[in-house]
Amino acid sequence: MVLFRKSSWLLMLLLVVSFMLAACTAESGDTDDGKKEGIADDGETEQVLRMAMESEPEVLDPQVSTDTYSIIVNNAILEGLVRFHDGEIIPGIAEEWDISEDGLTYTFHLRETTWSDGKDLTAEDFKDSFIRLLDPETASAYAYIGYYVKNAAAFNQGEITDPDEVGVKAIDPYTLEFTLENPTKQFLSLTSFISYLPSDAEKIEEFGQSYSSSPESMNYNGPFVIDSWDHQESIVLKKNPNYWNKDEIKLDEVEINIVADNSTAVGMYETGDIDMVTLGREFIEKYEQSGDAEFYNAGTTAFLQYSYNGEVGEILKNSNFRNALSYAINRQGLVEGVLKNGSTPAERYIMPDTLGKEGLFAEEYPLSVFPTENDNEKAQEYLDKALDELGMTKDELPAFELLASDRPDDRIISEALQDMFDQTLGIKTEITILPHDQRLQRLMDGEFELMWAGWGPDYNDPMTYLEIFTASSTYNTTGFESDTYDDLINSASVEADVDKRGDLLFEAEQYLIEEGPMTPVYFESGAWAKSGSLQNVNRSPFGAEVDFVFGYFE
Amino acid sequence: MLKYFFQRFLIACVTILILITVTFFLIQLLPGDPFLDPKLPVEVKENMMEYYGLNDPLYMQYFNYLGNLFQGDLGYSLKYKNLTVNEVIMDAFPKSVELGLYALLISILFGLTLGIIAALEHNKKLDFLSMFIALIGISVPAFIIGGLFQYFFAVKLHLFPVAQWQGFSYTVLPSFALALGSVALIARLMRASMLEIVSTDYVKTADAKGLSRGQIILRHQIRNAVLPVLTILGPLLANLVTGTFVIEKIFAVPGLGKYYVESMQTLDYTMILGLTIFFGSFLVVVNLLIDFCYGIIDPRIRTKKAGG
Repeated sequence: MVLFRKSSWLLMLLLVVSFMLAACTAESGDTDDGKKEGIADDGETEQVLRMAMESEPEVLDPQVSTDTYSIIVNNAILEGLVRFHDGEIIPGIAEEWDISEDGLTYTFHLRETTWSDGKDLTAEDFKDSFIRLLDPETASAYAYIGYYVKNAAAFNQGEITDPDEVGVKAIDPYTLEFTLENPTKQFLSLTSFISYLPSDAEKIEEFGQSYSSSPESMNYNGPFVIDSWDHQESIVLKKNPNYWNKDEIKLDEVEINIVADNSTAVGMYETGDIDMVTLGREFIEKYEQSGDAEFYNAGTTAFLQYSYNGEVGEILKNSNFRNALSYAINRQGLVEGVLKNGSTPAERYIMPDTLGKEGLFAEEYPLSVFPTENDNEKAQEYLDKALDELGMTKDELPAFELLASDRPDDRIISEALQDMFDQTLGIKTEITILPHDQRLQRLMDGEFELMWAGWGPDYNDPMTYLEIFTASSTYNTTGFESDTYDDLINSASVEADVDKRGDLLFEAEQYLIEEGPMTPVYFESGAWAKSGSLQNVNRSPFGAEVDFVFGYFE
Repeated sequence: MLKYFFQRFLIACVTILILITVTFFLIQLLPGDPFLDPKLPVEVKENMMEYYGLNDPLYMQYFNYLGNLFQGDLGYSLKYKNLTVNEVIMDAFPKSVELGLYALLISILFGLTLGIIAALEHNKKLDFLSMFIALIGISVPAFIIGGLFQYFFAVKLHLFPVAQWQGFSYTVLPSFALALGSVALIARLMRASMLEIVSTDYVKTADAKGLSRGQIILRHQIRNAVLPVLTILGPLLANLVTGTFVIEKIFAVPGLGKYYVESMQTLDYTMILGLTIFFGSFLVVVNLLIDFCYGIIDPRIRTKKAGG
């Protein structure tokens, strides 16, 4: 028995000592253990990129998938007719293409190339995949991304059942022709979008709904193939030896780790387990001080959205009232003092990096409606005017509900807004924080007064920002229904002349800012850090959020 | 004895059926649907609802689900659209089990040790120290413990990998982080139980018979004191091996806990149902087994059941 007691004492001692030891060594390790160590951990010639993604791709099947992470992976393992890289459209499987004068017919000339398993990749594959996107049986959420093509909507909605009536034709094995409903300027870049990527009919036949759930159950035509996939853990990509442009691909292997927690991912970056990492808000300052943080455009315009419905809507409909709120917002203060993530104040609605006629829309059509800092005098003037028009006194104003999601940034911003409205105008707001999906449900039911919201682009064109506020848009539950606005958007969507189209879109933007149910506040950025020797990895607001396809280590 | 277990088995089956039914209909009460997206045109959404059978009358969906369930088919996830819930469980559960078992082992080892020491050294320094450790284990949430472990032992000291699940060294930090709460639980329970037994008649009798202190502690005190601990081992085991969202998230362990929480947030109906049924059944089975063990260890229960 003495033995028993001795061993338990020993265990106890071991426990205490190990705790104390841990505490001591941790402190001494603090000083000499910089993050430098994480960088340049790997051999220079080894072209293996290790990265972390916060979530597993939901489904890689390009016609079914919609999420950010599937788009990132698919961008590397599949290739569309064209490829979107570093803000530019470059040839993909299509070597070249012709666009008809009227902007309605797109003819793609495909290169002779194969799938990763050596099977020929032809125009028929692209056509079948596109029809599959629209087939009601596929039940694709992104089917509507195909609606620009003639009869696509009708086929998807069951009005016609013959796929041959849809405006996509394989003229010969290497020529593919799309006929559109209307001239659609963004169509070319759309062919690089996930829904337009090819899937292999034979494998779909073989695997059914399980298509693309494992490395074997799909076929690849992009720069990489999936070598192994441990669900929720890691996806390992290997260079595709059958990719037509393989000489331009320098990475031999890409290891994508699924790491949900940002602190964990940053920890892995600091110990050199991964070569790049997105920085959550608590890490940005530290990395910025050491000069290792890089900012990237996240593409989202963050805005305050109003409801024109109900009694409160009568007040929010008043443009002077909305202006009062807008001038009370210190945009510069929000991005520099509160967010500190490289976001920039929004003086207009359309994100500055959006493509215009030829160059950037913001350069072709400059606009700055709102001051970057608050203008309390003007705000007060607008409020007085509004109250006059509404026949109300300030005391009669209700306390508005301000709805926001539970994302940390959204919480803080809504609190800052609440404070600004109260300090400057004496307007009271009550904040409601809801989880992402519940807030979305309230949005879709139109049950909100003020809402902290935002819009990220689906494609690189001002239309993606503007079309969500038309009367028929499923997003627009605000009660804002304007024939003037809808006419501008509808005219722009059928306009083949780029100049006229640009003018119409610009007019629509100005009208929306004046009359529409929202006030732009800032253009969102994010921050990330990467190993110094890693080159040519891009983060883009359009297409794949992270594009490492042409990346390499020096 | 056999009759008793047959009864227990029957009750277990009914429990699971009720669980399935209640979960199935409760999910329908949740606001929203799995395809929440403000961009989705009405017609597109209609196609999706149709395809996933969500337009059928509720009773039909229920019986369809039961029908498939009896064939062991839990259906495709609505979020991970090309993965079946069966695949997800087969993939993730072994990892959760591995993590859970390590944690359980640690809990028992450290928990019992701390509890016994505390009881033997009642109201002395070691008692206070043990209970202090136990207090920390109970009151500090797992995400803080996990985060601290990760920061000191992995990021600063490089003793263990920061995260992920690729070998034994990867299991150490999450196992300890997960176990800490249970260590505390077992330690406190064991201590209380030991102290209670010190004053029982049979311990006094044993003392009077002139048995050595060591013999009394080992043969009478510990053996009897461990019973309440055994009772909680069932739920504890089920709790530890079915995955824990927080620890799995912090250490990027690809276990079931993450799927479970995520499925609730995204209203992935089939995943919520499948995992609830799986967890529920698991808990019921574990409890049955514990009843077994209980009967074997404590003769009083065995005879009582046989008599009744």
